[in-house]
Amino acid sequence: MDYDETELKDLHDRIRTLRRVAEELREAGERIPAVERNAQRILGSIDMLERNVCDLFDPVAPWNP
Amino acid sequence: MDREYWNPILETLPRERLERLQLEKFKRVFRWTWERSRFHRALYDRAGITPDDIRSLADIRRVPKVEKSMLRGIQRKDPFPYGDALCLPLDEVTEYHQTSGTTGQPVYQADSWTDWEWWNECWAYVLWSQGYRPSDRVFLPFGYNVFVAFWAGHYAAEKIGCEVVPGGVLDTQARILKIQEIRATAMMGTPTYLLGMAETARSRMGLDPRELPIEKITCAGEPGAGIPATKKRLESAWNARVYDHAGATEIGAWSFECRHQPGGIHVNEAFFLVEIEDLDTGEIIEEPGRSGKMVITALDRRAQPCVRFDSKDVVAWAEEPCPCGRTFRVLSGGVIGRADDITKVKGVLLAPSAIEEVVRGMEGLGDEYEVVVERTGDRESITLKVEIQPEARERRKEVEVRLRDQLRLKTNLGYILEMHDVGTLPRYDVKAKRFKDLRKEGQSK
Repeated sequence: MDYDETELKDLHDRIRTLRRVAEELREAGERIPAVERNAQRILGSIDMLERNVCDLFDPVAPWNP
Repeated sequence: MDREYWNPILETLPRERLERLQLEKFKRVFRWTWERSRFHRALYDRAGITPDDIRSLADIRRVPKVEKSMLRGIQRKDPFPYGDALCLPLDEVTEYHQTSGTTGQPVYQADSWTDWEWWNECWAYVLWSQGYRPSDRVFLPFGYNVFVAFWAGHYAAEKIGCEVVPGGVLDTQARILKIQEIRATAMMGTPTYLLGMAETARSRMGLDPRELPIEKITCAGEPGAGIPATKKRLESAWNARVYDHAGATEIGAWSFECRHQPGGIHVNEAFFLVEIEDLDTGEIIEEPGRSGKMVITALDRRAQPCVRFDSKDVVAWAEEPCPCGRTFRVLSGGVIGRADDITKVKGVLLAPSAIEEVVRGMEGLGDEYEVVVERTGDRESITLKVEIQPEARERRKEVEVRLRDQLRLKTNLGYILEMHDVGTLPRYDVKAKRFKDLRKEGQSK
């Protein structure tokens, strides 16, 4: 499938933004298990977005903990 | 079909870019494992290899392989029960599974929440390629227990947007009735179980499984759906399309037969790196058509990584690409057999799957069979027990002659044949163990 690298980069950037926000949320909500653990779950899904899109950018970024 | 691919970018990535991606991802998982797994680190230190040594796919061959027996040896120790292969703190492990134990002491498998998302993601590639869509109502007739089995299939079906019906605690007859009651359109199971389920519907319930609403079936857990005669029996029994998936607890959901049924399974090459080794020389096989042993790396698995795992599965790259358009290569015939199972009998190399292909391709024979290899002094013998259908009993001699001919043609061996009535041979619930090599067990006469 032909795809536009610019569109893909846009997806990549949005996913990275999601990660940043989710990580900040996890940290900010660490005293509220409902926030911390749900943010952690969201990060699992974000990881899959990264595997599906972000890893195409060379070199692949190290995994986030 | 609209939106053919779960990820059209990765699944049709040009080969050069795909291989570059595989190399970069291998470097990442290798560094991760080298840094965090005491077990792997010791292995790599002994081999004198570090992450900086990996600059090309060829360099990967220098990384020592891991065998199942090695994992067994380090487990049941702290961090309990996973031992030194664990790469994350124990409190980040959220999923426990274990292997089925058909080849020995089970191996325990740890997964983090991210790993579990990864499992479900890999299965989403499988199911989407087989035509599962939000309009499907998927019935899962499996035990929901310590074996990973179809757990990730369940969650992947949810991810895709299907309606998932868990058939865990029901017995086989109740499951059949539930499929009928709720009009399930798809299901997953082992070939052994699903053939048995069809037989139960016919012989004990007076129900024709072909009239149930199942349109597609995903088979996994044992070879079968990749053996043409077995696939044909399943498709005929259920009047449904049957697709193969090969995966493993220690590896992940690494492959799928797409809806185009190319006579093999695609490797999900964006998430897994497959190498094929010659059984005798260990040399890497690149050309299609030559079978060898699969060594596989799960490129994204973290808690208990799978790096150059010697799967003992025998596979071969297919000659032709699949018409689906994926650049993920196809393994012809799926998993052809197990290197452990392929054995010499009377000096001839034999893959048990070849016997299954003959038996299940023969009209007049039932689904079940048993093979027994024995040695008396210096003489080896191989006995094949089959079941003859009631309507074929009058033609028994003719069936036997045809069976001998086909076996000779396909396996180059002569057999002692035993023809039994249907229902006589052992039935297996989930996974079958039909090939019994009594020579290995020291049971010579």
